[in-house]
Amino acid sequence: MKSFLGRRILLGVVTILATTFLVHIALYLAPGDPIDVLTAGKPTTPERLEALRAQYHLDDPFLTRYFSWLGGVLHGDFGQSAAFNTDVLTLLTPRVPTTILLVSCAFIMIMAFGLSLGIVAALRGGAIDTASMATATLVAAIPAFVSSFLLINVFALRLGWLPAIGLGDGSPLDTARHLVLPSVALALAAGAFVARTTRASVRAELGRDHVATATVRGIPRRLVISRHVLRNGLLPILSIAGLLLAGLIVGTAFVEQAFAIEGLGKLLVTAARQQDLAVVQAVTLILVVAFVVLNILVDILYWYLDPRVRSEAA
Amino acid sequence: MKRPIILVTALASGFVLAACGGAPAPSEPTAAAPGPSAASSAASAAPAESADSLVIDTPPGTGPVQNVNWNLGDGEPLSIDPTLTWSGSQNFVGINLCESLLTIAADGSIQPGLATEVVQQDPTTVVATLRTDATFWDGTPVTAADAAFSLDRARTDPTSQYAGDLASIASVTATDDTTLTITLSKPDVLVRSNLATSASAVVSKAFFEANKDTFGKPGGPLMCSGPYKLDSWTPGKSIVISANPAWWGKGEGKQLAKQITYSFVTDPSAAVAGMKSGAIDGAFLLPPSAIPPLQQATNGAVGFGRGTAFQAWVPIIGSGGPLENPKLREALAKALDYPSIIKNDTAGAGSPAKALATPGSWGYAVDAYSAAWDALPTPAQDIEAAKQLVAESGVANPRLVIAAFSELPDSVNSALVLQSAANAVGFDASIKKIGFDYANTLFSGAEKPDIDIFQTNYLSLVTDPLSIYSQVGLPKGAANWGGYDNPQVAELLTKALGTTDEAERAQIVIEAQTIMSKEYAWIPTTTSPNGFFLSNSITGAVVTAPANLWSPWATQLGAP
Repeated sequence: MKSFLGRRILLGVVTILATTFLVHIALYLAPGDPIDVLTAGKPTTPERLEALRAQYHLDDPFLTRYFSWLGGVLHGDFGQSAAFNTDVLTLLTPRVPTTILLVSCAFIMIMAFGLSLGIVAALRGGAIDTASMATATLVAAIPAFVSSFLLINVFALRLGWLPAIGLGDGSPLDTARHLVLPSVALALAAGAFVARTTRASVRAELGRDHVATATVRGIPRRLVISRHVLRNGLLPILSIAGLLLAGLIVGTAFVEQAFAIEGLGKLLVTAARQQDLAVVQAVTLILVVAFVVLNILVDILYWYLDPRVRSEAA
Repeated sequence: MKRPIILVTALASGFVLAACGGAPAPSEPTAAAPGPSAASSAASAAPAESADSLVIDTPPGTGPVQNVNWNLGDGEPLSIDPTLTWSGSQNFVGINLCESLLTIAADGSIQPGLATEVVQQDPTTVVATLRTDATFWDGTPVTAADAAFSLDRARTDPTSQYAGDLASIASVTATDDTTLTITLSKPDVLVRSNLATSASAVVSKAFFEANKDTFGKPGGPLMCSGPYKLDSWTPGKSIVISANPAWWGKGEGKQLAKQITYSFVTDPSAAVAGMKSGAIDGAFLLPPSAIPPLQQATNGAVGFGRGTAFQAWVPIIGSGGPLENPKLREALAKALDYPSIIKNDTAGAGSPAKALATPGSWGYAVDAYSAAWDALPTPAQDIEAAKQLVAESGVANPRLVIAAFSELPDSVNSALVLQSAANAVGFDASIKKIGFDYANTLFSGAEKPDIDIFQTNYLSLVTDPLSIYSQVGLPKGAANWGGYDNPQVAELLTKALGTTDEAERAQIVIEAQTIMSKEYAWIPTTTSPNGFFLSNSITGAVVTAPANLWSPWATQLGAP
């Protein structure tokens, strides 16, 4: 277990470093100059440009910029945002909980609806199976920005059941009301994907020899399904759950934009548009760390749930 | 559908109809008019040429409102420190918080602010007299020392947005507690107009020095004297301001909106959803794509406010390119299809711009500017004349490289429109896509030999036509991006900058305007009215530019 975990963590750290370095290179090479954001397009004196360049270290060489950034991060300093005129940590602090909240809600919806729909379809078969899987295929093909648009227009503007944008006044009930539509928009495609995967996986387990043996031996169907079919059938869902969760964080970029929610995704889009290197780096770092940590967690869970992994590692 | 808006039609003559009791009386050349509500009216005498439907003002609110949700469509301000604020969003917040020496009213006239009067004693001396009853939010009095400190910061701080506008100020001295003496290094009548912008916003010197690092920054504190004070700024979420009960200008029908909550929804479709669902009560500067869906809203209405903004093509004249030839510039002007530009770029609300100083910028001598405007030809397409001009130019198939920002779809579309228009009259036009990194080359006086023309959306920040013409017409003007150089125009504009008499100044500016228009220093296409949205439960927003940048417009907001 120790060496297994050690290898995973080492690989994670390398992944994080390599990704941040690549993002740094990409931003460095991208066309455009952050100075234009700072001057807001107003004709500016050379002295002012000079002062701004110095203040935001825009003239430092590439590697100096990268390593001073890395050094800062290790000390909890994410640098200064050129576009927002403040330190990056101030920008991140309110947005991280917002995005975690949104992603958690969407994830719970995905698991609740995706799993139950997939299991029901697999076990019942027939018309229910066909209908639910056809719907799932359709829904899985709808990108988040389209579903956002449809949900807002139908449920917020036409029917007026739920608020269209923002996160409300901060009270728990109001926040919950505001979270419904964006969470659904974020969850739809991934939920449909989980439903399809669950169905396929449970179907495959139903046909396995040990299930047939158990059935033949007269074990009640309820027990066969809970002990033999679902326990094994849901393992693949665990491995896609880690990836899904990381994907959801990225998906917030569209959904937060459409619902005007100030979270990490929207911050990333805005910052990338404005060449705000420090902010893009910080958000990327959070995304990559979340991705790596979630995958290590999934690996650990697998270790406990699947004896084959344990024996392979040993 | 209820429309809480006064629509003023037949505006072509460009007169400002005061709909809110503001004073359009031309202010004396040496002093501001004494009082923001001096009753007076300007009547439109000239017959209408076209039927524009531009809003001058929305009726002031009559009932109290607990909270107004106002959206800033161009995003969260970078700062609300008045010295650093320049773009729409920042000023729409900041101007209700921090007061300047003078303000610009909805009709474009300059009105008293923290100064009861600003007198140009001689061409190089301006004296401002401050009110004695103004206090900062912390209760300390607003003194001439605070004003001098603030103005010095605005003109000398390297990060100030106003250093260029105040460049002709040599020194600022607080002569006594309420008197500020400003000495100019050369005659510049525009300094007085610029004192009506945030260039002269007064912040508390003591508070600024104690909070230097965070002053006006996201989440940071601010200390001014305006009708609203900063309650909270939650970066990424909202800015909340509330009525200042100790404001010197408080009174009946003022500050009816107790609180204003600014949101930062930039995505046009999210903003539309917010307005239609009632989460957002109002917004300025709607993007063209937001206007058609909002026109179907039942809980509020879209309107267009008049202003100084316009769209123009900037020909590169001084780099030896083909547009050095005025005949070719005129040919381009005659090749364009103005009605379709107005339809596509301003949702049909604009009107052909005859000159760079559009009617909204006439802050004085309105009759003279109006007559001069009427005398200018209305931009119109004339393909045959354009072909003829190209033939006369002596250049066969002249080259035309049109610059377009590849990141901005609107910019690329406009370039395509110009390209096909130019090719139709004999140019050999191509589009060069540029990135934002090119902006500094574009907006500096540097030579631009590789492009011939680019588009700008520009506005005059003050209501004096001399401002835009001196920026474009003087060899070192701040917006003379094309290298236009006509000694006769430069002489006229320099003379105008030293002419304090407004009637006299108007005549000189008009002379320069006539030459610059004839020579197509820029090729203006359309005025760009301020598209705004107001819900049915709110009225009173000042919707003309630059008044909504430079006057505390939230004081008039309220229930209809």
